[in-house]
Amino acid sequence: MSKLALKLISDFNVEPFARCLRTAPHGTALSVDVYSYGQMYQALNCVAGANEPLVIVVWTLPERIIPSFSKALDFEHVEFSTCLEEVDAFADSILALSASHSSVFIMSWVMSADQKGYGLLDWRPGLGLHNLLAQMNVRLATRLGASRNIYMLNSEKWIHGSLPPSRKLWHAAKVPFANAVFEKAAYDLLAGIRAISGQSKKLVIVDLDQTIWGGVIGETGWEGIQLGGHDHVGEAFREFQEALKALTHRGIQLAIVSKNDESVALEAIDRHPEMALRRDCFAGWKINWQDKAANVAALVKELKLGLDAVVFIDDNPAERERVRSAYPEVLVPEWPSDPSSYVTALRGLACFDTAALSNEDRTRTAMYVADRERRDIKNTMESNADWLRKLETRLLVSPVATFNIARVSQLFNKTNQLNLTTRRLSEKEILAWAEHTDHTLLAVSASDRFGDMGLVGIVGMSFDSVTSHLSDFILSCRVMGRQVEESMIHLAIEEARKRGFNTLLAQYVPTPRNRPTLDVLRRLAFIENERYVFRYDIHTHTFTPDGIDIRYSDNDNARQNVSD
Amino acid sequence: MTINTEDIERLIYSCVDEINNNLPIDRQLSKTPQAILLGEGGVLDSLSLITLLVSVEEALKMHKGVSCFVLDEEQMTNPDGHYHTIRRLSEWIVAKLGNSSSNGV
Repeated sequence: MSKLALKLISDFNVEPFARCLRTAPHGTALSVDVYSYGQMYQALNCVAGANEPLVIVVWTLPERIIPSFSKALDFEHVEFSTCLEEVDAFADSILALSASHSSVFIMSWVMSADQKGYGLLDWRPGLGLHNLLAQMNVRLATRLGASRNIYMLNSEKWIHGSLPPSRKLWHAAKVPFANAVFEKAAYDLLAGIRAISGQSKKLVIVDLDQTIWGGVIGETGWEGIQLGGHDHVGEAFREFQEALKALTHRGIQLAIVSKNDESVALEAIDRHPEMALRRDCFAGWKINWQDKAANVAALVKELKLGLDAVVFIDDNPAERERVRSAYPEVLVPEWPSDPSSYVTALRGLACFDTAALSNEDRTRTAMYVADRERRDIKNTMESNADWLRKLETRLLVSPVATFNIARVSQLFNKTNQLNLTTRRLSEKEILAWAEHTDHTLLAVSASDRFGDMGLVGIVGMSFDSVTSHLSDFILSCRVMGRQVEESMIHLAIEEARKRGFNTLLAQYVPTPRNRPTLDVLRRLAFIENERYVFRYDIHTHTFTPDGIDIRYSDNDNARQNVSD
Repeated sequence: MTINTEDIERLIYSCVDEINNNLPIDRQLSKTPQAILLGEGGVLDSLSLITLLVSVEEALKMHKGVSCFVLDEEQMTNPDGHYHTIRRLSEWIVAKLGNSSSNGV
């Protein structure tokens, strides 16, 4: 597999950072180059026209890149507006970089911890250095925020969270930070790269006793567990629950795997007055006396996720080791024994970052709860067809444009199972592809009687003089098996028919995870001309998904359903 | 408190661990008195050597409570000098500490 090319541009000696990246876990998947720090602006201009699929990382010192800020540090009088104009000029060069590269990461500016500035006056507007630097950071973030492939990383926690460096290293080698700073930066940057590559975690599975509350509920009943109640241990568990709940607001799901009696555990979740995590906070649970590893696998399958999307948190080292050894792809962090350290341990997991946050993320818990209700209904139905009709599924088809690009990009970069080619594209690349006159890119949103599932599918098509091609067929695994996949193929066929084509070709690109896509193609009467190359004869196409209401929207209607 | 060559070597080894953390295996420095820091057969580049020397200075201050100027530009250009091996560096530091003053050596 080819390595992801990373280029570091800095106005100091950033080689120690490059070394941390190269030797970090997963760092071997990177090819890291460093531009000479003496040629900062040349590097910016040189790579701007390169048009290579690489990631650029820009790390500068404010006193070196913004001349007026350097004067301000010397306590010369400087107009803040002058400083901010220089920030704008720097931002313009970064924006130019972003236009020709897949992603740009830029580190926020931080003042040396020993810089006291004007002391008492240092936060005074128009004078204080900390006030000025804060304005510079906000200005830079605001200007760069217009671009969807620039990510600003917060360097303050690395720099001020580490021992101050020896100035001697700066004097001798122009290295301004201690190695610990570069190690933390590498950790966060790699987490960011994983996020834009769609490798962030989507589900946190927790144990119950001694994990989200203190004590053993089977022995004490829900009235006896430690949770809140102005007891420091109980307060620690309550705080941990709140931190877990906060994750659900950014699209991370929660689930339970615990060795307990289900009714006893659920009674606590429903009735304990200090419980922050109620039943509707959980996408699912397996509360029984079975093997936890088997329960984790069953639950993940039920939620239609991959094991590599899972974090498993358990206070018991033996259970952690059991799950870790059974499923190495599950992230099983070592867990502190002291509950007061739980929140810090959770926040220290650099695996939840995402490249964008959509409405679907914010409401995903409600969607999973609705899924649970759908499964409950399914169990009462005699046939799958009855169940599908009962759902009353509606699809809304919209063009892909800036208003829904964040979610579309998520689907491109995170969907594995129902994904025809698994091509990973940035938002910019997706929009550029969609704008081509011989391409069509459709976004499919779904809803049913249980709720809105948001934007769940993408159909990409390209056309040449004789044939229509299915370029992208991407569907969120949450709606698999509800005839949405059939409906999307139907959409592609109708689009091709509308343009006067007789055939639709689909080239399946196998990955370790997208076998379900192959099954769909084979199920829907595609003819497999050669291995993984499928042809659909449009004139013989007769099927229309039964009971699915498909509508096309203009942008305005679509915007009500999908936004970022 | 008497500080001998072996004490300094142990302290240098802890600094070598930090340097090795960020180097590929084939460029890591072995923790032996004979390990070459500078000169033919050495594996460290100048940045790694400077980082190691500054790290040793800081470790001396933190763990031994002594201030000692280990980084010396002149030595950087002398492959047969005090920076040649870990043993030579240790002996040099011990000698400097033997002539210590309150302002550092």
